[in-house]
Amino acid sequence: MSVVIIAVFLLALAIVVPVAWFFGRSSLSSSSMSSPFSGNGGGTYDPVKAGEELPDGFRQIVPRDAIRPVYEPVFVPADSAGWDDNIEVIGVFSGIEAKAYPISFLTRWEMVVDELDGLPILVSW
Amino acid sequence: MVHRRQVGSDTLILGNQGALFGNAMTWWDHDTGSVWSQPIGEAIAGPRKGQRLETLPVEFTTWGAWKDAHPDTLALQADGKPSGFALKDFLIVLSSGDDTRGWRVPDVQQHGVINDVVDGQPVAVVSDPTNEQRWSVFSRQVGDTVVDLEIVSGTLQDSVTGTTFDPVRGFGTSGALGDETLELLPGFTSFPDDFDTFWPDGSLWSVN
Repeated sequence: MSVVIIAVFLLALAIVVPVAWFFGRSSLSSSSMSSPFSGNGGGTYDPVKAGEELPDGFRQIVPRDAIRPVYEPVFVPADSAGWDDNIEVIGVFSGIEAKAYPISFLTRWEMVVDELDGLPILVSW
Repeated sequence: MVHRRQVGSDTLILGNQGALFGNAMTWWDHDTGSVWSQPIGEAIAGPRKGQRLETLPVEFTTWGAWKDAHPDTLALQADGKPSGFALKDFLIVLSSGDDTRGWRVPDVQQHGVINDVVDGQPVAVVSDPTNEQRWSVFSRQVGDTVVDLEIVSGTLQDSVTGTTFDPVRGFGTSGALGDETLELLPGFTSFPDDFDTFWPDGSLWSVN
């Protein structure tokens, strides 16, 4: 699955970068949720860049946060979601709070940095 | 998958490393830059190498089924479309101690309940008899009693005491253990390929 996402990402990059350049906007400055492909993550220690030994089977494909996680998710009540009943979701339930995330969204954005009933959680695909 | 993004007293902000490990995604944490492997929830490089995040119970299901079970649910403000993935293509997985067990979703749906033992702990994987898009993994240890679960006339029931339980949330609805609740365990769905890669010592349930 991840291989497909990377392939789609590279294809999207080939299209988005020239278009963004043409319209004079930097993909790095985008903070909206219009596209998961932006890019960030410089400045912090990176074991890959530092030359640290990584386990077999590790392959760096694109820069950190090139597929940008949702760091500040926004939620709406169920009846405002506007989703068809048959779409696939990931659901989490704390015993008090329940949250749902559409799979079709997670396959593009891959990560939602969130909280469930005050507990810090990461939803990932 | 859903993980608790805390190690000890540290709360982590995790980003996308943009790398694959065992053909699955990796993360980086913003405070130390360590690299984490998603399926095992473990840091594989950097200062936090070897540390692990707790896996939390999560359901892969349909929006309709989820909303029925949790009418007060919140929904991520996002487009929701058919994903092309179906629950039947996945394994339900439970990792406990050094033991990892996988159950094929069609097997769970066919049997309704599979009573099993993982890491010495009696567990049950349950397909909701009212909607096969919903499933749960429960402990079968209820106080000093180990229950043996089955679906009888569309109800989740202990074959020994006759106690009935809610198949999604696990609370007792009638019978000798009716005041008890089955503990929900952190089962999650995995692609079959990921199961082979990340839990090579894991075992897949089969009828025999």
